[in-house]
Amino acid sequence: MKQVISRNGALKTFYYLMAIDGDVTAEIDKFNEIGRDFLKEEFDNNRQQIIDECCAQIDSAVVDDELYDVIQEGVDKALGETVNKVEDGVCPRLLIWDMLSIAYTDNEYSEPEKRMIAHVARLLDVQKDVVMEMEHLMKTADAVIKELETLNSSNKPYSEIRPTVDEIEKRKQTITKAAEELIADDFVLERPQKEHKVEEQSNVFSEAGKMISDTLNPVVDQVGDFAKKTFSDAKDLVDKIDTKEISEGAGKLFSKMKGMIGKNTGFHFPSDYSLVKKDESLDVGAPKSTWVFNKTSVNTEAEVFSVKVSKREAMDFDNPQALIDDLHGQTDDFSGLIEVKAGRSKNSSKYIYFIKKFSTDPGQPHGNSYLLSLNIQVGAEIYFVLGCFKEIGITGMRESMVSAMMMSNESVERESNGMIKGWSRDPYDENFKTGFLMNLAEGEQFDPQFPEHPLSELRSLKNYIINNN
Amino acid sequence: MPLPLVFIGIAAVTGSAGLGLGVKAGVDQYNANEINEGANSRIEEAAKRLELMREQCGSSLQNLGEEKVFVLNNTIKQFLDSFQKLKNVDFRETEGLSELKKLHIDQKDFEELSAMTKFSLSLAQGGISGIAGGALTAFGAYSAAGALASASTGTAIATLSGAAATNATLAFFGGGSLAAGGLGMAGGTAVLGGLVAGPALLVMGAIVGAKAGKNLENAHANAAKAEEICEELHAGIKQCIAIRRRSYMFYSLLARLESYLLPLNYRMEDIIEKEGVDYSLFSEDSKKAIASAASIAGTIKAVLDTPILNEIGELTDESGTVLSEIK
Repeated sequence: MKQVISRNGALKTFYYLMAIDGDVTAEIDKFNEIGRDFLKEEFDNNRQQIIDECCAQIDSAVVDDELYDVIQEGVDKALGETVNKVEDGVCPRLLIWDMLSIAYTDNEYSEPEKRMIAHVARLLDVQKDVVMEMEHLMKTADAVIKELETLNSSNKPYSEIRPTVDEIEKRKQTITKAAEELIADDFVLERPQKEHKVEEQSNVFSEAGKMISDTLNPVVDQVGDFAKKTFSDAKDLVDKIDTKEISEGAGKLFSKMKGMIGKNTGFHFPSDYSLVKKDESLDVGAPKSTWVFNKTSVNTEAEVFSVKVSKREAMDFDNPQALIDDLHGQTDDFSGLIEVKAGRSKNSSKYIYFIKKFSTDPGQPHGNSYLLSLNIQVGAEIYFVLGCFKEIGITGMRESMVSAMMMSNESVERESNGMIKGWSRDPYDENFKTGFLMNLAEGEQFDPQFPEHPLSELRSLKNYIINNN
Repeated sequence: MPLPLVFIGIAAVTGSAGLGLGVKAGVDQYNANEINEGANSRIEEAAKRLELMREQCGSSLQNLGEEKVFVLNNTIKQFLDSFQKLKNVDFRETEGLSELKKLHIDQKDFEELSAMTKFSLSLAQGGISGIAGGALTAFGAYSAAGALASASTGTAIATLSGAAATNATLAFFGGGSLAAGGLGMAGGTAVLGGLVAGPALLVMGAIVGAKAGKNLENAHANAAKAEEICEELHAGIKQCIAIRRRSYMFYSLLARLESYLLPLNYRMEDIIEKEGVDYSLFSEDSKKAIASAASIAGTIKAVLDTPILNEIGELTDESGTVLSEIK
């Protein structure tokens, strides 16, 4: 189901965008015009409330430097105002297009405006190439308008410039049409679903209650069963990981696969991973036709398994929250949740993944391991990628350096024992305190500083797979 | 105060006031999903989507063809009329435009541009008389220089219309509605670079063309094949969208370049009127203006020369490269 922003939420977003360059007063007429288009007669009743709410948010900035952050918070709240039916609200791509249209009205597409639109696009999962294409179309619209102004201010007779004037009008319409079709693609690319939707099931349930539980419960159980199986396999794998041992034990090393293996399998894998095995069952009970890759760097030993799975075996692409809940339920003292995410790649492939951390030696910690479990649907095939990334070499450097950097900042809050406040926490539930919790150093923003750390390597592989399939 | 530039209002989603059928059509497709049940319905919906995308794609290629014709017949012609009057043109001496020292527009480029403008005039005239057929679609898809070369043995319109009829992909896009049997050469054969194969195309034709009877029964017959057919149709949808988007990107690139060239053309005319035709005697500012105009004209020629589709209807790598380099 697409996230559809309410019309009020969209109007607030537009107001914030206008405010980002400074004073909104000069553009208030434009805001009123947009409001009347979106809300019709209701706008007069809602207008002041929308403006008051936005102004209160903007005024909460204490210093000028805070203005962008405060506005962004306001936008985030506005985007949380969603509706169920597409016709009742504003779909993500339409919101982005109209934001661009507003940003270009003053003939200057400023950096804060660009940043805000990029932020909204990320939040609403609008692909980067779509945003770039919209920016390109909008620049063209701006250029043709300026061309019209040049023509009108020239001393050329109207009969001479008329063909170009007519062409410019046609261009404006064509650009709008191109944008509309680009916006509509979001819906056209939604595939008809094979299984019954939950909403339909609800209707059936009201007529036959047994049917809903028979249909839904196995689906929920499958997620749990699959996750459980994956964890026990993963723990075994983590304990067994020793690339050299596996390759020696196998007795042969297949030649490296450079570049994409997509031509044979339809699935793209980065070239700095070596193919170890393919099409054979492994000791850990992986199915036949599993591909095994490995990579070793200064800080990481990685073993990655890739195999096609059926839809029944795959995780539920549309319910990451259920996955989070299940993973919380599976947590023990030596594991913790890092990330869960579902979405679509730029090639419109659905994906869902989770990342967990493990302490390899519960008694005497010396280095962590990270697990990636990813499902991605490419065409009609679903690929399961299971990656185990073990910290080797000098361990703990990332945590040491990041905590040292934070400790040196006197404004950072401390616990009573001197530790950084909030150093360890679950990324989705601040009240969840079980297990080996994620720490602040494991945030994605630190990956560039520690490119060979296993978590950075894991995320790099994950991003490659999602961006190239 | 009017709405901002090219702002798309809420009517686009609701379809009221007859506006924004593109977005409304997309929303209707999405809603159709919500009540979809069974293989047959999925095939029908996928076929309808592909038909919608087919029309959009054909329209985008035709728009691009028309834009190429306009740019050649107007702004490029205007540029050539002025530029070809100049004598002693040497861009190596132009300061402040260091990249133009490498610019080398030779006589052959100008001859080609001149020939293209005459060629495009014949297309424009054909469009007015309504006999262009798929010619503009083909001109949108192909390289202008390539089209020129093909036209050397016959009239422009006949050549390009022929190309549209014999190239399965262009026939698919420009060959009229499926309901009217407008599959052109595509009927029963692979199109879109092989992504929409014969059976899926026949299914689509049967459903969208509302041809009842045996074909429709066959389309519904085999449930086991339904998913396979859906996949093929969906691949065709994605291919159509990719071609459409590439076409519009080229369209807007051409429009933007043309908008930069037009004021420079006027400037050139003023310079010639005030300073004569000897480039070597022009002021530095005038030399820069002439050089800038020539640079943009050269860039427009590069865009015109870049084909969107190859012979089998696939997007060309070249068109993607040109877009990112010029942007």
